[in-house]
Amino acid sequence: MNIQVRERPEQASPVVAKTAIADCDIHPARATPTELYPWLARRWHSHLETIGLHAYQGMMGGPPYPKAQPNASRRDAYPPEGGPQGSSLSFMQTQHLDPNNVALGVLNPLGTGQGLRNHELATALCSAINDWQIAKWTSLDPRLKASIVVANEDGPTAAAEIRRRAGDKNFVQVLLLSRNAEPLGQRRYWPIYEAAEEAGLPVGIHAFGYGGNPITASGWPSYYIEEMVGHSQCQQSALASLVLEGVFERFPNLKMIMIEAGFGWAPSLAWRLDKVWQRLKSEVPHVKRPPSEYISERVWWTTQPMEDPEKREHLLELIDWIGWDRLLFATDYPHWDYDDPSRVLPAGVSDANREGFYLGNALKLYGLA
Amino acid sequence: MTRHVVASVAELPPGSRKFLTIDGRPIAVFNIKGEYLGVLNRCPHQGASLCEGPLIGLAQSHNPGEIEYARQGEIIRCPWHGWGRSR
Repeated sequence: MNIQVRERPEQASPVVAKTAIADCDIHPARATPTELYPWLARRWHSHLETIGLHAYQGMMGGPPYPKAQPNASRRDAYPPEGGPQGSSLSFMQTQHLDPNNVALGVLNPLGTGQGLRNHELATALCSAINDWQIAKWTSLDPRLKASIVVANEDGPTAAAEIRRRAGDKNFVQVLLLSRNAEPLGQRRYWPIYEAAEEAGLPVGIHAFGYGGNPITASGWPSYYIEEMVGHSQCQQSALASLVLEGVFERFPNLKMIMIEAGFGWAPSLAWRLDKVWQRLKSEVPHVKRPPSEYISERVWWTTQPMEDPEKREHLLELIDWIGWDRLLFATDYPHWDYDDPSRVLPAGVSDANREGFYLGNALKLYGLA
Repeated sequence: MTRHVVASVAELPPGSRKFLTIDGRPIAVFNIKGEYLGVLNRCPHQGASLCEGPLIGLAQSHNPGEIEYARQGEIIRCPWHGWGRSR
């Protein structure tokens, strides 16, 4: 792919949004391949340079589907000083945090040690990413908060990393991805939930990841578009698994956030789960309450990419079911499917709901209110 | 209609563009194969800086398995969600 990088236009500055918002899905990037080295033991430098990364997928590097935009990001988000989109704090401030009045930005780093087969390497990279988030981002801009990135397939070690970071105010959540070796409710991931609950931190499940499985339950699709809509399918499986394995029963204070999965499917999944549970609950006696109750009480949803039905009232009906207090605004900056905060909500939303949607719900969930 | 001098011909060769602000409006002027076109630099979708995107063409297919790529360089693609705007 050829990328033309041109002079930034000298333009009238954009309208500064008056309303403060929370952005619950920002993707900071590394400017160079060696940026993590200060926090990585030397043996990993040479390992990365000679052996490289091996994710839970076939022998290929990179994502399984081409992203249609360079680095899956906005073409106007290249920092003027160079480096990929999302790699410069100062440019993120200029282009996004300041003009959009982002009062709280939650960092969800991707392309970390998550989903790697070499668990030792995964652990080292995740820990380095966590240190990097503090050093390069949250310690320099107090609006930004970090996620504890963990080696998802190594439960006990992941739990140890969470415990190490617990109480550190730089971090507001634990981050998992939606594609793993097994459905997320299963036992191998329980140590992560245990540690997160202990630390009083919600667990965010973000789209993508490498699980070594076809990305849909019907096999490998052909098109990137199918991957994009497939995030909903993937997170439906994750959520069903979490409910039916009894994770919400076992960890009664655990909260989860579905990030970038859409939310239009939430009511229909909950209705279906309830119906089947009514009839088959003898298979899962550890699930003591209707699935929809766990979903309503313990799950939050980030808004991006916002569903966009032709009849906007359908969207509002949907949100009524989920609960206006459950939605967390997100832009996914700097990715190309970015949602602009001034454009996403239709008219006719009450001030209270609007305030919660854009900021209040996030502050409350993350304990920053 | 007010006239504004924006550039000399030499400054705007074919395939190039120039960004301006006129009366508070962000505008980009393109030279598309010798024709000069001014575009409001605000995507109607979500307000992105439309004119920072790449100039692309149109993939068309008249028969299964046959694709023609026409109108190269005549369509601006928004750097956010990829909507195309043509001359």
